[in-house]
Amino acid sequence: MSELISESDLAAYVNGQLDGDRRKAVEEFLATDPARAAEVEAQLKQNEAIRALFGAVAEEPIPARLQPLRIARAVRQRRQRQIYTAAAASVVLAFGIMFGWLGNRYLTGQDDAGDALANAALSAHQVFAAEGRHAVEVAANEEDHLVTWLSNRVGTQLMAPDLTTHGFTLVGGRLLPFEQGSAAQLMYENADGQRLTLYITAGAPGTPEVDYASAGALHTYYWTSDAIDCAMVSDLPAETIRTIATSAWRQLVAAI
Amino acid sequence: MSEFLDEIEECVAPLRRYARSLTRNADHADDLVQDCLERAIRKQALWRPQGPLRAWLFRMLLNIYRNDLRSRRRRPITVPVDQVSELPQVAPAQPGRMLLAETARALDLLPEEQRTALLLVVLEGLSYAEAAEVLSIPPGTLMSRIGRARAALKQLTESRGETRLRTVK
Repeated sequence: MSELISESDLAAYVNGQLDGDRRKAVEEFLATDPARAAEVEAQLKQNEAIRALFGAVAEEPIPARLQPLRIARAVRQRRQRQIYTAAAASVVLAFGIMFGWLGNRYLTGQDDAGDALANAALSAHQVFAAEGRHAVEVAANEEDHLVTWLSNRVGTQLMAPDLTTHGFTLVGGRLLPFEQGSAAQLMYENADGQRLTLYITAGAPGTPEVDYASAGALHTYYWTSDAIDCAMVSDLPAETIRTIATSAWRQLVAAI
Repeated sequence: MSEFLDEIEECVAPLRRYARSLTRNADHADDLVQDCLERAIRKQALWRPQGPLRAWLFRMLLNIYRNDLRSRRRRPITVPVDQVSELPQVAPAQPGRMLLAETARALDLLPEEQRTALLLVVLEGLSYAEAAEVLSIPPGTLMSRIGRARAALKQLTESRGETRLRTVK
């Protein structure tokens, strides 16, 4: 082997680390050493195979969910929502929760989004809360995976609120269609086998709402905001659901 | 701000390509990239490095990938059979189709530290210095990992060929 060309030069050559003169020197050396040249050739074939396997991925159109501008907008909305939430919390405390709900609803009249959310959450609860073995798609023992998966699909940062202080533990969750996008349903259960579901979708710009709806024995509390919309459904007493739902909402918003 | 986003945007296609080569599953790869981009954009004010963003983004992607691997190892996830070893579409007429399939399989068998190093340099075209920075290892370690990866690839693809020949006899 030439004194001027070392093994690490050959490696650098196949690894694309050399330029100009150094590259030329290696090529001249290889012309005089067929055995080395064959080794180098085989390694260049490895390069070609690797690029042939995956190179085309970079030419594929980039899906909307990976566009930095869109992600930045979502991040910004979440931040604004956090600021809003902090301010709103003190307002709500000062003026009373009931006044906030009713005032918002009757002053703005904008409860269409909330209605759609509450209805979807209610239907989903009716279908899946009654299921035994197939209540959830991904069970609570895979909580990390569940949360990452649902966050990505729903398009907003989710978490599974800890409701153990209210006696409810996570059973798991599933992905559901909602309007033009997706929704996450998280299911919880207490020691008596009573269930409640949390239905979560990405929020849309508009007036934030908090409201309550009931259908027969089932009660729904829901919130809408720019970053996240969420509804809790259960057949527990309305007051109990309100307490648990408030706790869940605080945790969800804090995690965004 | 928009300069920052423009620079990130230029890295999205390479990040997708690298994530796909690691996971061999399009959805899973895009999930990793989405996580990576969100983190980058959320943290930019605090953590954005002085120089180019590429090494920073790749390092973040790798961390997410490794965390994900660890949590999957703890709780294995069942994957539909048709998603296992998802091979890119290769036209039948393309020469070396067999070599491609074997290279793909051999890559899967490489230790993670060798595979990540080799793909950064060969597929992504990073310099030794940049790849070493992404992996947080000295350049010498990087070079030896790539060397071992190449030797293992060679052995894996050759030994498969011999096995097939013996079977034919």
